Amino acid sequence: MTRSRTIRSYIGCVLLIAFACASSAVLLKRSIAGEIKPTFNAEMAHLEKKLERAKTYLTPRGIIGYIDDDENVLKSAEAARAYIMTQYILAPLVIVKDTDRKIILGNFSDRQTGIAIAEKNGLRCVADLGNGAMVLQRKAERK
Amino acid sequence: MFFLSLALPVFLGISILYACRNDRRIPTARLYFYLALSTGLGLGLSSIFFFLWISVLKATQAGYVYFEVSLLALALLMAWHVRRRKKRGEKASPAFTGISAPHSSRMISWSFYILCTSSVTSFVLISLGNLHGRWDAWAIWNLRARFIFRGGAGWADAFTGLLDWSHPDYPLLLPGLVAKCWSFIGRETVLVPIAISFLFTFTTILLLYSSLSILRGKNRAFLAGITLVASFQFIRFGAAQCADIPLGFFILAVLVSFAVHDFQNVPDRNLVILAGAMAGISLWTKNEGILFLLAILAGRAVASLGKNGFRALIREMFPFGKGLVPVLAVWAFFKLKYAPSSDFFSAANTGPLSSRLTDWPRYIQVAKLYLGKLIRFENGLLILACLFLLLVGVEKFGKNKSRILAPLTTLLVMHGGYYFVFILTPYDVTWHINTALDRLLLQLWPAAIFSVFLAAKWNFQSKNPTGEEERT
Repeated sequence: MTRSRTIRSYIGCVLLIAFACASSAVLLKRSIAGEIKPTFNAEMAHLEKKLERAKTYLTPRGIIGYIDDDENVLKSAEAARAYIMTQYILAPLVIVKDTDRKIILGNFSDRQTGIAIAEKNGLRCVADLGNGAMVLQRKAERK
Repeated sequence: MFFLSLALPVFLGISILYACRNDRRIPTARLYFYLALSTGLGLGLSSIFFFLWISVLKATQAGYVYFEVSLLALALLMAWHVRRRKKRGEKASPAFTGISAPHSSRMISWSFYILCTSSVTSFVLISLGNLHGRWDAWAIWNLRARFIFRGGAGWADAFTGLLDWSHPDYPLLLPGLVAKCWSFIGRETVLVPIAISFLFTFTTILLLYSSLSILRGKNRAFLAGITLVASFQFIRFGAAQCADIPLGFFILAVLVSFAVHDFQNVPDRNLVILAGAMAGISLWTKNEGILFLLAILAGRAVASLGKNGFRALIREMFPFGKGLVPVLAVWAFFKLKYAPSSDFFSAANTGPLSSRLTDWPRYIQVAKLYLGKLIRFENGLLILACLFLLLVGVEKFGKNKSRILAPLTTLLVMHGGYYFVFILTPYDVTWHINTALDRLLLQLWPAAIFSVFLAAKWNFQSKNPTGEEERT
């Protein structure tokens, strides 16, 4: 009885160690190859650079609006990611995904697209930050 | 300053536990056990004190460094004073029921060390590839830390309801800790959240190893450590800078504190106070801590069956409450004064809650998805751990049976709670389970491994340093 239990203990132990070694080796191999996804370093660095100048036009605190190529922000994963990253980079400024604010940050793929979308939404460009980033304001309403 | 910002809380935890311990000489396993608990306790308390500093005292963040240094000096003084008073009345280290031989098999111990090295390397590489952590880290935890650190006097903007997607109702263990370290250093650095994640991930492994080493001997402890250290998702999420692994640490800390208390021939009230404090810090870590509090009460109710029943449970709740209530009060203050209502409940209120509760096919759908995730969890490692338990069998503990069942009951209640969360979720149930369940299971994973190896019947021969064979 004791011997059979000892054998079973050995088998259990060897099985666990073998599985653990395999699992650890796969993790190590994938980590070395940089395959543990998703990684956002490059995307974050790119956006940080893009928004660098925005900080000079915006107050450090307060609430501003936000608009991008995909006007329905948070519907597509990429647009949602860009919006949340923008919030992360510009915190403690609160960035709200609407255009009914005094100042609106535009984060577009390029300048032309940005100008067109801004026009369509009744916004005017206050500062072009380059790379499709713009500080926008609502145009004065004509009576 | 970077090193100091993390070392101070750890030393604070060490001084508190040093003053509280009842044993005179500490064996190595117990030393690791205290060290692991001290680290978690110190980091948790540091986050709580920082929050009180900026919210109640409304003091500048930069000034907190002096407060924490004074706190440590006070804790050291108290530890020295208490130890001096205790010295005469000290007891030797308490004996344990059912402990096996202390020597370990070389094969198992070397496997553990090699796998630890491999996992540390993986952790570092993953962290380098994700300097800001995974999505949840920069969308929730590090974002909140930036709001607190950069916001200065306006740090409470972090809890605006306008950013409901970032769960502003989540408690502040991680953001508070990260912001505190940044204020120590005087600038932001990604090294802080990475180092905090590293501490929690590998301290969890140390706590699992040391607690089982005390309770069941080194072989089982090493094997349990191997199971955790080789868990693919555990290391991956450990480097994610999210709060799931820290919560897993505190859940394990509560269970092992109670287990060590239960198995000691001389029960240690201080361990129950510590368990209460750790349960409180789990509340301060994530909202799931609320469910854990209920689960731990259910677990203790089961444990008390083996003692004097209900009266023993009530008696135990006093020291538990001593540790829990102060942290609970801070948590309640945060929830009432700063946190907006949870998006889960806000969304749930807008939808037909009763219709979800009476939607019977939904129960089957959730059960299927839940079981599927459980089977695939950690690439089948959970199934392998269960197979291991079947292979070696379960110990017959006699009067200790309820003590073994206590952590299992806690885990079962947690699973039941998670199951009902998915029944009630206002979101698409498949999407919610696919995006959240793996993380929820990881919170319970260290505690599940602890429960398996605590209950396993083990018959393994190893040689002690004198060359004699012994069974463990």
